[in-house]
Amino acid sequence: MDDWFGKRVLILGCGNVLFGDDGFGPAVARHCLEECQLPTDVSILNAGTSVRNILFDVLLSEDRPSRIVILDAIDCDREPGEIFELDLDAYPAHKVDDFSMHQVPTSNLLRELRDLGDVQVSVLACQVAHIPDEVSPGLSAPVTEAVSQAARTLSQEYLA
Amino acid sequence: MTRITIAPVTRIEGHAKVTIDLDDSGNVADTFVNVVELRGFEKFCIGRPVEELPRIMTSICGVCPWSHHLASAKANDAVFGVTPPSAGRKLRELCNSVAYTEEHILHFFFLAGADYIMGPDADYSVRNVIGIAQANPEVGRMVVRNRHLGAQMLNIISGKTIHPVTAVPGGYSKPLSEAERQELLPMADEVLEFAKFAISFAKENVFPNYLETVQSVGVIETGFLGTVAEDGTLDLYDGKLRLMKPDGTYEEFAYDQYTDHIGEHVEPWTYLKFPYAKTWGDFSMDLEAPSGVYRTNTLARLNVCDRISTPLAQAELEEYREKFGRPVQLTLLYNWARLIELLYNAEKAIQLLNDPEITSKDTRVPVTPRAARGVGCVEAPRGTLIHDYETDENGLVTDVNLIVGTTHNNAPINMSVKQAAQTLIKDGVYDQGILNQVEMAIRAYDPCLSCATHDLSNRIPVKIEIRDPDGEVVDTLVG
Repeated sequence: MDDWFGKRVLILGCGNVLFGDDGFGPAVARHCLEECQLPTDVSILNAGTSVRNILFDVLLSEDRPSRIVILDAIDCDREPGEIFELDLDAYPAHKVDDFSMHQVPTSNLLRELRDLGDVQVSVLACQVAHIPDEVSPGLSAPVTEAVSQAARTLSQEYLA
Repeated sequence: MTRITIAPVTRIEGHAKVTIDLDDSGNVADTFVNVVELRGFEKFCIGRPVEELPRIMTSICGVCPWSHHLASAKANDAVFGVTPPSAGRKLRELCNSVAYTEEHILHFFFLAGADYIMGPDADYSVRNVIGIAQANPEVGRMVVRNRHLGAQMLNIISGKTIHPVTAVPGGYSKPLSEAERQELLPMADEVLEFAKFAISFAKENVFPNYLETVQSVGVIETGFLGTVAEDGTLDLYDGKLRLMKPDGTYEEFAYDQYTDHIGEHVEPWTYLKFPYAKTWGDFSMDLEAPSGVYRTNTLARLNVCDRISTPLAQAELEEYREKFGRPVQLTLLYNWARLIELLYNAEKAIQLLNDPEITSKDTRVPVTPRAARGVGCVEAPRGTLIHDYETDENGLVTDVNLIVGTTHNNAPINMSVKQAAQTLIKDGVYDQGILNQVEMAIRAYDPCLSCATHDLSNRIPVKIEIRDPDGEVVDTLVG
């Protein structure tokens, strides 16, 4: 078993670093791993585009964290670089996009984790400035600034 | 004309949209499968040191990073003009086999299997992995346990579970210690036991219930492409490409000759190209008279190979051929073939771990930059994966071409969807169960469709649009 299953808190930085601001989650994960003193019962992973794979196994595992925090880049008409927590219940309740392993974890999979898996699930999101159509790595200025802010929010709100 | 749109198709790796046009009598006039392609990656690679590509390639997608990593390392070997030492090659093969077991377990039990285990007409609130786990808790537990074992094995062999870096130009950077080998062996034995269980479980409890569906949904006639060893044995890491016609005759060629045999057709309604066998004539997806169309992935690999080198998988191959012949054209049998490959890879991993060379410290050779072209190819779980690089005298990339498994299957996926839709939709009558069976024809190919948008405003999981003959939307169903 990977050791992160047994941690109290699992933080997953997800997104594709090749697509501009989509690399926000991995950037925060890297920042925390390099700059922050993590409690021993907390694990942070740069999950990249493998996040659903991890969440599936966590969901079906008998041994799972009591809390999971997803770090992700989102486009939903806020100010670029704004950090906010997504409300899982605000998503539409469709059941059919659950099981692709690619990209962002779906709201449904996260709700399954919360409701069936008895895991406290949070999504700490950042409003993107731009996600390019073609491969183009690198965060925009507002999202770059948001990385350290997200790390502070993580330690204040989720790791205490 | 009435138009039905399914977008995105679910339980595949990425997003796709299916459009089904009905004629005035309500029968299927035409279908189109649109996939979202990763664009601009080749351009991004230009000017970079070629030895960086095996590491960068794993960022394309978290779904099959090992296949891109290994194909890229092999293309590097060719660019640098080196052959990895035997131990380096075997460690790469070991990673490939273990990664395959993880992938095939995932696909059968989590992605495609839900349709068969829970039934294609089951409500989609239970037709998923949660439903499988609740209906069969012991199976769910074993699935997760064995996927963990695969991840743990890759962690021991390569030091990383996500974003591997150990396949390098000229070989493999992390020799395997005897202590690690001893740790891996019981894990590999357990995965083999699960692989044996999985195929028995499917043959007893799953496939017999759907043989009628298998015989009718998505069935098309095509050729097949896959890798075989020099003697025709299945090989997922290295060998020659065998391109088989529907009648079973075939041509063979080295990886770097693929452009002599494979052309790329373009359709105006999609960015994704349609590779085809250009030595067979012009390209056509006409269901009655297809031309140049071939398939890759599990069904194709088991069609083109003469035998499998491991005993249990060979026995399964013989039974499978006894039932369905060779070449097999029934699209949904991709799933059966996938379980035979699961068994093969579990056996192969044990064979490699028992190979005395596997713990040799001689795992890589030095490389020197030069101007060259190099083609690397592996069989990815989703099909033949080709990386083609060119460098200048400083080893900087000047050109890149990738053909991924799903792209090879672009034409057959479109044809299978059209066949399934024509078979199932009559007189304008369809329901969720019928549309799901159309999706099953796609899921059998286990496509991986790269895309990276997170636009919540467009996140409608399945959308079916029905349009009247003037193109007006008369009804919208959201599943």
